[in-house]
Amino acid sequence: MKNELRVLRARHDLTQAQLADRLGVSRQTVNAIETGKYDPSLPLAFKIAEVFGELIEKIFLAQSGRD
Amino acid sequence: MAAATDSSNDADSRWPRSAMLMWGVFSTRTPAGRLYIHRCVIAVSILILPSVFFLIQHYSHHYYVRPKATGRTTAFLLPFVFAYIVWEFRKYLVSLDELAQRLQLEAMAWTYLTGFVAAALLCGLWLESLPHVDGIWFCPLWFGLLEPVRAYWLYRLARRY
Repeated sequence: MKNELRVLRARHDLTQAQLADRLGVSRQTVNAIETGKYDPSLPLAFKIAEVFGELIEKIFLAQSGRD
Repeated sequence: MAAATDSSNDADSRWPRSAMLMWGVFSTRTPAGRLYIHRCVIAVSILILPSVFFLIQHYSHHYYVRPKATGRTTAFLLPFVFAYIVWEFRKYLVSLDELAQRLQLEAMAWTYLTGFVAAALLCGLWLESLPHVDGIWFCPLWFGLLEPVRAYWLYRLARRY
């Protein structure tokens, strides 16, 4: 799953640590989501959407194809 | 811009290696990690205290406590101490975020599988040397060896992120 987390974070001028604080997760988790190595749970995805004031489908994009 | 600087630091975003390999936790700097480690150290210290006391008096040629009493005290403390450590680990696990929890649970699953293979191997060795078997093969303390295995798996799994 692709995501726009890094772009949104830069737009809101937030560090990974600051975003992690707001989400109540570790900085490593934010980094893993940003780099596409980890897909967050639905509650966490909603929380991310809430922090940035965006719709969840604008942040997380399903990858088409077999990957 | 702070975020841009931060995003260039992806390589530093991994969990500290030493905490994972030494203690089986993600960080000894977080309150939950620190508390868990401190309580484990205290619990294990209480467990080995009777043996240390016995050794000190043995080498100072004072015999206040008999070896049997020391052994019994340690045997009595053993299940309570390990039950306490398990309870504290459960509390630590609950305090983690979703990715960290997933990694800890995956590490435990791999530890179980590793232990299963090791147990089968030991069982095979035992069957092979049946006439010379002794009790050490069945010592429950072998389970203690699984803790470094869990730490190794945690480190290995966390490297994926």
